[in-house]
Amino acid sequence: MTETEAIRLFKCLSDKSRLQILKSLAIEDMYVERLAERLGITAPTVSFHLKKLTDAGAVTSYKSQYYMMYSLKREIFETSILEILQEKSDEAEVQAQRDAEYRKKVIDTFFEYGKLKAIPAQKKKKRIVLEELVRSFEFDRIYSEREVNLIIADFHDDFCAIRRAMVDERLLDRSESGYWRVGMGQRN
Amino acid sequence: MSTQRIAKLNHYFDNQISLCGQRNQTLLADDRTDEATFEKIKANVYDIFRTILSVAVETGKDDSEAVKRFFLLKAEQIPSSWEAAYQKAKRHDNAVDMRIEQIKLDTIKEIRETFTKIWEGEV
Repeated sequence: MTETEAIRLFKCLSDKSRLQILKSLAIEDMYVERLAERLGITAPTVSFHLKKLTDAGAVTSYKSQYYMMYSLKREIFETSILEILQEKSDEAEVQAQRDAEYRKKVIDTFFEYGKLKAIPAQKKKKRIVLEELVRSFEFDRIYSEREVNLIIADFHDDFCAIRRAMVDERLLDRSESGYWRVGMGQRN
Repeated sequence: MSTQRIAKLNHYFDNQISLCGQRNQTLLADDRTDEATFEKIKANVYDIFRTILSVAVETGKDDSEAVKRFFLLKAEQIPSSWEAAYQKAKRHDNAVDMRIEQIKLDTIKEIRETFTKIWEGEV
């Protein structure tokens, strides 16, 4: 289900009459007049709601003798809300571009001539700065603490705080043998 | 005589608009937003023809027949586009637009009948 389809469906469901229609159709397939009688609304109003429900993909229709029967599109309602949320956003590219622009702005603000001017206080900005710093570390390599400190010291004097922050942010991991960049095999 | 009929008609329009407003609020409170909008559509039609009546009275002066002619002419002319829109929606099997246009057409039908009754002194 695309984002547009999900929005249309949720908008469509946020109406008591339409919800009542769906509840009725969950019991059995019905025609307009039957629904109108059952719900106490006029047949043209039921048709209005059914059209919206059909357009939203919630309902389908078929002809049975003289009647147009409406039925619930059950597969739509078997989709979990989490599945809908996990669908790739139609806006993903725009969001990625916005993120990249924000990231560049933070890096330009906090780095000058390849040196870190200050450690950002704001968590989001700090993460971006640390991600930038960790790029100096290779994947698939174990670094001693001294090596880590030397690399970080090229950017900022407070290498201890930055080293610890990198570990806290899971950008670097450590064991008795040393430090390594997390996410081996990932894009640098 | 005309003044009385005009007052009656204005009262009818005011009353209908007020009822639509009440029903709109009730339906909104019941989360039936589209049906609440239908009431707003009806209220708009009443409001349009309340304005038409005041224009008819102003242009017709004291000529009762002229007021009636003007009002009924507009009550034919204005809904013609609604009728066309309804037929178009029907051709495309669009029950959403059909319902909206039908509400306007039903309302103007009721207005025309009420106008005629009040103007002919039946009520």
